[in-house]
Amino acid sequence: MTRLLLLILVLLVAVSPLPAAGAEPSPGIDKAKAAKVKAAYLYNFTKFTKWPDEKFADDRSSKRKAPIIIGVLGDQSFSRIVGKTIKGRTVGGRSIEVRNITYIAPPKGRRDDPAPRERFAKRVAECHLLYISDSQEEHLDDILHLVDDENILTVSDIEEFARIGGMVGFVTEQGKIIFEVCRDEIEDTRIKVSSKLLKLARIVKRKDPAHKTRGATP
Amino acid sequence: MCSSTHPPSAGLSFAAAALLAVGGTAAVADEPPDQEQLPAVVQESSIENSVELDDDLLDDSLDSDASFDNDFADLDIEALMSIEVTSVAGVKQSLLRTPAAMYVITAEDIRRSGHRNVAEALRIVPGMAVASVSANQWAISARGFNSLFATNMLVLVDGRVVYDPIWSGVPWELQDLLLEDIDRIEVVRGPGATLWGANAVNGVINITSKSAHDTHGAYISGGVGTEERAFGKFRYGGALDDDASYRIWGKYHLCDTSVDAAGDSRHDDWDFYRGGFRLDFGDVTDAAFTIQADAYHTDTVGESRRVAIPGHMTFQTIVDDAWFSGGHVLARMTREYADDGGWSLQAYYDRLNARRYGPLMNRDTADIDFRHHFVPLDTHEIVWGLGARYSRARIDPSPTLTFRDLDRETWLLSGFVQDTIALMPDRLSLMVGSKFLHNDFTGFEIQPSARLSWTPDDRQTLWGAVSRAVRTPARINDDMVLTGAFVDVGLMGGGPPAGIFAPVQLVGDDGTDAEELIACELGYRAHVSDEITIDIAAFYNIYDNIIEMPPTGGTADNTASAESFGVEIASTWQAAPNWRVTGAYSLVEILAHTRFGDENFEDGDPHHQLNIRSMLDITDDLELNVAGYYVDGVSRYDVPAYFRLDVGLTWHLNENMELSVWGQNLLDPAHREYGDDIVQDMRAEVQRGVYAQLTWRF
Repeated sequence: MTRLLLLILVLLVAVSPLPAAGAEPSPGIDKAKAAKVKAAYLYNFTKFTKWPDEKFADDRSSKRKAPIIIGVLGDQSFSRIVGKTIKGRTVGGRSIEVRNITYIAPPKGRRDDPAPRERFAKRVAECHLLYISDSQEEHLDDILHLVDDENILTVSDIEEFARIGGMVGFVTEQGKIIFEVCRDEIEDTRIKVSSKLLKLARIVKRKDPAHKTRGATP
Repeated sequence: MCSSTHPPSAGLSFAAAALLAVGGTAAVADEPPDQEQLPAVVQESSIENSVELDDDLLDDSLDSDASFDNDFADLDIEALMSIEVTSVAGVKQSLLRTPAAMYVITAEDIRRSGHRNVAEALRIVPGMAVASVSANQWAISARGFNSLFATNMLVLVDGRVVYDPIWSGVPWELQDLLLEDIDRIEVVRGPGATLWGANAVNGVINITSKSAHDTHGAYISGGVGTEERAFGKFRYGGALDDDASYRIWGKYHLCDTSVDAAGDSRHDDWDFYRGGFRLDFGDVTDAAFTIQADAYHTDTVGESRRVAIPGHMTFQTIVDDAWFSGGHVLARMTREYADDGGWSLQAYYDRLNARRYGPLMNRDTADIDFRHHFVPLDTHEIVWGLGARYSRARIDPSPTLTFRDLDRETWLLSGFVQDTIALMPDRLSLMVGSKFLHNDFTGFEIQPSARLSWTPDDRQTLWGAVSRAVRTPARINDDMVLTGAFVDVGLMGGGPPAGIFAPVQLVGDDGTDAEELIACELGYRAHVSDEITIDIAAFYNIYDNIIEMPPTGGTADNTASAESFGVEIASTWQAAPNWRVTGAYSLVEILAHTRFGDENFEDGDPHHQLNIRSMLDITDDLELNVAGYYVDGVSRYDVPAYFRLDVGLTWHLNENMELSVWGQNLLDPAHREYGDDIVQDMRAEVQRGVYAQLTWRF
């Protein structure tokens, strides 16, 4: 009986679609601390970024302001940390909302239900800032394509993110987290990022669109 | 660089989190007022406003190197850019402050140790005595009093107590999990009874598996070897929707026999099938749920045991197959609030069918556990909880081993409360609390503790603790009847053989009391430099009412007492970005006062243990892991000291595939590690082994 059960489980594995690879932990990095620092960065980024008005569904009659939505794609633990970081904080009178988002690939065949993908795309589109976990690297092209016209500030710690189509990429250098910004990517949208933020960033240029797939990092 | 973090996740780690959070209490409450509460009017100029914001807040906040709730949020970008995120040799900040001899191993540590199951993996924990008793049995304890039925260690797997209430001790052969999906194993040496309950006398081992949110993807691994004959395991996990993830997993292994002194097989080869699933769902800011279940089964688990033959004065060693099957289902709901605490409610049911040492038995356990933590005052963080456990054991006795009550239900009710008081925020903290429990064997028990920790700066902590813990009797102490031998009544009376044989029995007594411990501990933990950490713990334990089972037959009674002392030193050295070295030394000495032989307690453990491990990334794709262990002799079982050397080479073939080859116990063809003199004939020798493993993640 147990053997049969195991066989069924193995078969299930064999027919399932391929999911994202988990990122290998790097030795020497205090992951919990790094996550908190990154979460604090995200909060700071919202303070230095201005989105076009139509990104906010403000209710003008009641003067109630719509929240700034930070989407975290592919890392629920991190979304919790961001949630704790921004809890009770506001930026420009707006509250901040954190949304944990899981990647859903486009339907492959006609029989696939397109609804989950549409819901996913809508949840992404509603974000003001989208943090893309490095576990999502293989879906990056698709994700960047999704956010293309949505005026979303994209942030990630995928290697060379700001050089391969993203806006803000975290980089760990000499034990510290700094960030790279691709101005061209931001200028393609109607998002405005404060010059103070840009001054602190390492400004990088977009590479040739076809980016290489990265190997394992030490 | 990686953003996926595993904060001490939901549920039972709660308690661990509470223990870890000591230093953090004050800071959580200390959160500065919201500087960003700007009036609605200035919304349009939020950028300009922000530029002015909290520029100068950073300097004093930075120094305190907060590792608790995110006060980095109050830093501006320049400050964030200057924060060092490299952990000091991989040790979490929060661990630095923990006022207990705690050591944490992760799945990565286990992978780099080459050990193939949880029991073996504990060899890398400082101060832990891990001895293979046969190919499928282990004796594991910290701070002395080890035995096959090591009574003093409490072990939890995902919040489920796996301490055996019948035999006492832990059936380690059944605690075989998918190592890849273990988030962390927290080992506390010394009493952890205040949070965890009875039998957490010499230590607690708390095994936590990863959330299903963190195990998306497929993992398939398999291998063959000389001792690890064949093994295969898989996991597949994914998302059901935005807030729900699942994984299913399974594993199989087949292990070779150990040998006797002559090199002949001891027929203790064994196999194991196990599979399960876990679901995690619920919203980030709302309630989170975990549901998990697993089941296991064995075809053969060879054991050889000693049986007395009626009518003869001799023993016979028989080779038999033990077998096991069982499983559990567990559900947990966790609610965490951003700064004012949280709670969890957990229930599980566990079933075990076993034939071990002769009798056939099955055991049902149902347990419910509630925990709540909150911050009533800025300087206090309180954790409290209530629990109830029901257990029913039905036993089909064997000729030599039976219990007076063959169908018995037992109840355990418990509650605890613990307050962590920040006497000086971030610097001096006091943890006081107690566990209260009522059990069917000894009635009401109280287990208080007080722990003080002083963190003069962010690189070192000095801590001390005084605790009381109890070990409640197991069924073997309470109502077992073991026929150890048959003796001629004439000879027994000093006369000529009468030809009439009487059984010599070892029996439990329902009047036995709980064993008591008063433990005094002192510890120091420091980040000596950015590369080196050191962790020292010393203890002096006073045991009373220790239950003795008379080795030559008779009734169990609380006739022994003992004092023990020792020290454990662990150090980590990040020699280079790609090279980490860890070392650990431990000493245990016991002075026992017994009725049946002080040496039974004094000489049942290796007095000295040493291990040194090196983890080197030769290139990005090639790892060399080496571990050397020295374990002092155990004179109670005539086990000589031994050295053990394990060497493993792991080659990351590409992003998804990994090939590793391990040589274990390389220094000798075979050696003994332990023995047992109650139910079994145990002179098993562990053999040198080599295995190769291919792992595929995608």
